[in-house]
Amino acid sequence: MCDQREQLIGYLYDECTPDERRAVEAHLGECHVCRAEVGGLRDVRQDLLAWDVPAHESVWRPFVAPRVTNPWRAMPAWAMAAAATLVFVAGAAGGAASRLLWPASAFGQVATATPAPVVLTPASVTVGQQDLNNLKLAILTQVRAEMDQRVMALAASHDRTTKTAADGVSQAALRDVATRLTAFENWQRKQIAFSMSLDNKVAGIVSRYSAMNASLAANRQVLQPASYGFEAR
Amino acid sequence: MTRTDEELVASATAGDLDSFNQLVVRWERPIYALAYRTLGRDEDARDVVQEAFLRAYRGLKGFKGQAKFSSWLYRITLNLCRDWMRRERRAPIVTLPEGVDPIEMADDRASPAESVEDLVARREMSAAVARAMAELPEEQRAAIMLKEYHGLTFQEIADMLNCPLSTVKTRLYQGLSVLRRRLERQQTQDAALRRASWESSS
Repeated sequence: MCDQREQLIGYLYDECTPDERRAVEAHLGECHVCRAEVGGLRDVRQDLLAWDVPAHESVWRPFVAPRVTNPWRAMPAWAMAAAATLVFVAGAAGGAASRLLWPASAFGQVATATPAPVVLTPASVTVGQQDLNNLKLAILTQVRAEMDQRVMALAASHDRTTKTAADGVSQAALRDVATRLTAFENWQRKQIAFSMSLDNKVAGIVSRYSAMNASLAANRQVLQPASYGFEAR
Repeated sequence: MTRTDEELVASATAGDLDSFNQLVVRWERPIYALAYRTLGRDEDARDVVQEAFLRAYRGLKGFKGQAKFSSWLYRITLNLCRDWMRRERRAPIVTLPEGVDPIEMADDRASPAESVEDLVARREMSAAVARAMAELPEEQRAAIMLKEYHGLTFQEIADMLNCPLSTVKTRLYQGLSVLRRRLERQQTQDAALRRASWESSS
């Protein structure tokens, strides 16, 4: 046993089987050299505990994931709310105006039809210049057609008036027609201006959407671990 | 609930930086202690700690759990320390205890019950151990540090140092025996010095 250091070390650190432990203890009972050796090694282990390590602050700067900023966050919430309100009010005003200026019968067919649900997803919001032109053309065509109808109706009314009423009455009717036409032309100019401003806003939104997509793609690249400046190897 | 090292390693490997930060918080102190005791200087140990964790982060994907995460970290740290000493061409530095200032030292007592005399003796023993350990061959020093201060098993040390189990036990036995002789000699010298000092002053 005296030349078997492995058993003594296993016993010293209590990393031995019960049989090995019993064998070492039996030997230590008989061999004073090994008993002194184990005692001395235990003392050294006790002395080793005195070796201090100085207190220190953490030397590690924790990893922080780069903050992902959504492009639309650059716009204040109040501005987004104001824009949404503006669009809503403009839409409601346009709808009310069209109800007042066009006979309800013109929309009868449309009103009774059940509108198909439209689901807009970011990918489907792709308004092109062609779509805007078509919309403008459709509005203008409808406005012109309505104006022609009203002029024809007024002309027919004027014919009847000239046949059945005095000249004074017919002059009053003509003034009334002129007033109505002026009001209608003013409304038409406003519609065209509104259409053009809508055109600009939609183009702005389309441009903003493209920028958001580009920024989102850039942020995804930034999130890759390789961008921390050290790569796994 | 506290997550295990293995769970944190899995999350960190999947890209969760916070999990890796938690591993660092958990193991920074032992890694610093190993580096400090190996190199003997605070600044060097701090540099090694940082480099060790950076290397661990870079190598996470290659760490397949064949060993404990802590053992893997210890191995990285020891390799860095070895490189460091070879580059500097030097042995571990031994920091001698500073001048004895009873008031200043009172703050360093392990417990309020520890007297200043005990504190002085503990500091002297700390320096004596550091000196004796610095003179050991690198393999014996590493085995003793991993066993005594980090509680690794014989098998874990053997795996880490790439040597047979019996070699680990032999290195421990030889290292402890050398330390025992040196510390006993040191204590004898210290006692003689104190006696001479007491006799000259009386």
